[in-house]
Amino acid sequence: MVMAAQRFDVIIVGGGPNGLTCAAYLARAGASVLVLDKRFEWGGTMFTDDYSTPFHYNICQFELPFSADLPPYADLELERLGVRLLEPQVSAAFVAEGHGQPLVVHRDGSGLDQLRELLGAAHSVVPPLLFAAPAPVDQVEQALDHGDGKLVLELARLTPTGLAETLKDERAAGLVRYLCALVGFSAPDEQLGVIGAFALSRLLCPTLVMGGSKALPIGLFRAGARAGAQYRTVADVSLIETGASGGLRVACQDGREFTARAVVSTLDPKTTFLELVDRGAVPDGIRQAAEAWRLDPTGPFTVHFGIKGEPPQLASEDASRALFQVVGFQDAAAVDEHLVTVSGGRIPASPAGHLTVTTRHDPTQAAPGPYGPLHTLRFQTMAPYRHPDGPWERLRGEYRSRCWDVAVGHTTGLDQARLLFAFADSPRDIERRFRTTRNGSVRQGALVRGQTFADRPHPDCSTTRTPVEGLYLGGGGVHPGVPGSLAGGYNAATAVCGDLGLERWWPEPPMLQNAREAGLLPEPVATS
Amino acid sequence: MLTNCPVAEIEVEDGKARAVILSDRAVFPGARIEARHAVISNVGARNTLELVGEPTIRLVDSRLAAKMKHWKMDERGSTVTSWLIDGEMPWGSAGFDPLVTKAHLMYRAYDSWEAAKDYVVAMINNDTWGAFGNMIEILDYGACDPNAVSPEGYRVIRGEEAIPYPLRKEGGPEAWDGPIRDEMLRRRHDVMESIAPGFKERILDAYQWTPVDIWRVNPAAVYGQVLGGDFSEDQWMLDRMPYRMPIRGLYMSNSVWPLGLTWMAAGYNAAQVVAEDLGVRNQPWWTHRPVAWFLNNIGRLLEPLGPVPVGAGR
Repeated sequence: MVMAAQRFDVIIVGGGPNGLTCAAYLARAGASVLVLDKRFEWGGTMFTDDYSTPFHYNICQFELPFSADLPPYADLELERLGVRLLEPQVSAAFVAEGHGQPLVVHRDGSGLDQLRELLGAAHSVVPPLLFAAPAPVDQVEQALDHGDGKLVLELARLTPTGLAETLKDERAAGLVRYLCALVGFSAPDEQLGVIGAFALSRLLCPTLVMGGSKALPIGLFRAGARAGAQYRTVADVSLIETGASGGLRVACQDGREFTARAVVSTLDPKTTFLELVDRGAVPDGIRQAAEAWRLDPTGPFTVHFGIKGEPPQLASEDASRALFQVVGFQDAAAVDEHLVTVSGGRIPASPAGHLTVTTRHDPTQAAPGPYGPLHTLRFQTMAPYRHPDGPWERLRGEYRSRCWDVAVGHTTGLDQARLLFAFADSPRDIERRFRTTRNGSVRQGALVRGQTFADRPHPDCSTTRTPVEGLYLGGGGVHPGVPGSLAGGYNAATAVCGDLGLERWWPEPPMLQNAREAGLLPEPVATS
Repeated sequence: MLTNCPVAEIEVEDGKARAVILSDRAVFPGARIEARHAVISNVGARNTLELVGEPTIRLVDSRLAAKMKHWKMDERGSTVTSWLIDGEMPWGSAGFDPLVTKAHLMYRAYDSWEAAKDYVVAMINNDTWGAFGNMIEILDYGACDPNAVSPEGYRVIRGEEAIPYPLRKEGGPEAWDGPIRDEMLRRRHDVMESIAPGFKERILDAYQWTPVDIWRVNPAAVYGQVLGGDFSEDQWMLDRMPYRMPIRGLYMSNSVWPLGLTWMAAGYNAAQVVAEDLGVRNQPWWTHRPVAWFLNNIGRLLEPLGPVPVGAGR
């Protein structure tokens, strides 16, 4: 039986946080919206599972770069829909090998006093740039070249190594070097750029979602569903074709077909332009950019532990409260060596990384009992995409045990706890779970300076509009590309809303007006 | 639909269930949510008694309150093992019938009638290790769902076995978190190896759940009892909990008849009862009448098994 293609105003390819954000805004603007996702459920990389155990495991994206200042949080009334945000007051601790006292960094930047001003500027100046159409990166830098913007540029021009060298305290240098890698700067000599500087600053004031990161997409889904958006899971899109009457035709692997006036792809540029859109429709320049699109070389090896017993402690109470407890490194040089080893496809001598005691910040992420206390721990270490000694599936268990040993060896009390459950994902596992996580990285393309603002992913489509009529980009592969910001989906909704003649019901975020008045918002690139 | 919203209390006023109060662990801590017509409790007899309050139920039906308080849950706690294996199940019996590799549900059954009796005696006597390793239900998802097999040919196998919960000879229920957990996994590997030679070599990963884990995951599965209550004579059919509780507007959809399995009957029946009470049962989209069907077909159902008439499915 041949089924007629169903028609919608907008089809969104990918039901991750950006796709769900876009759907909610557009459905509420009156568009008929369909979201298609390859997986069996919503939320993409903002995925929490309990694997039917008494613990919540945040599999991929864990912390957010925004709190209640996230524009969709207010616009979509996410708090009312059950999304509650938590702000850990102690961000990070660095436990240097052989050094008694850990370095502790608080949410307000104290502990990294030398960088406090630079990080503070990136934290407050950059956000408006994320929720507006982008300008070329040099124009962004020109616009920022005054006032607090100068401080942002100072940070943006540093490399991870350069940044570490500015710090007198070896522990601070080690911590900053490590955190740079967490936001995508594993290479020692890559300038952070404005977006990298922002991501680093926000990593030091992280936000968690109560119950697990998946609670955010659940709220976004509710917002869209209330407004009439439709959703299909296990819908693996294989083709986006131009030339169909009434817009673009979207076909799934299983034969289902849909058409729409606008299609928003939240997938990475390689997938969108080299695999999905019919070849003849993609301009050569964009095709070449997609082919040359630079990905993170690998991602983290993440281990989830469910324990019975008291949570592990570091040398001070403050350090024990830190969200990122970095353990196993001596200093910045040791972090560098670890990252170079991993980037070279080798296994480091020890799986040093960071530990998070999730339930310290959100007790609801473990069952209250019976026979507690129960705690959920999350350990992350950068690892090669491929294990040099064989498939990760065969070696994952042993590496997971080594991570447990690192956690036990660098904390107190964990040796007294009973390990009830342990799960792990290698970078390869993450890539297989989520279509957008090439090489196991949550970023849909490296966040290096040359792949930000108007160059993300190409000047002709960084505003989310593309030269392919009716096709928009709305994921992490388009400006701004900061995971968890929801800005790709938000910006795509703005563009589609205008192009389809829908009424934009949501207000411009006040931070944009403030930035405009302060002269910190450059003119965006012309849209196609 | 609200997630991360555990309920701490079912509020009853003037003999009617009026509202639920969320717990401090909810995303809306302490919130009171009113129900105009009905509160349906899906958390079983013991938890419902706790949520409503024993004095409140005792006031309207003291026998029911006592029954809920002493509702039996500890006869059969679920123990589950999940394996990730490389390749198909190497069933020993495949030499007898190769089709066994296509079966998605297998039972490691008793070796003899005597063994079956020994198992029952062990269950009654709370003899954990005597009961262990006998009646294992084994699911091979990949046998019926190609999506459950990875491109490399890895697949998940699940084994489940009900065992008495109390662990009296092992020091009490908290011992489930002790060495017994690892020992159970080791012995289960041995059992599987005995019926599927080469199984151990195929194991890539394995996880063990105890009844306490099951209870922690699902507070309604007290003592790891996932069916809403033990299968004892006094907790069977009409002696399960009523769908309509003696408190107006309060209904049950767990610990009722039939047992809480994946046939969803308890939820369906609760919906029928509530819909009848609200006067909304007659809907153009809800025409199925299970009881009427049963009464119309009871004569045939009671006849000895024979050829099934064409079209007798409904």
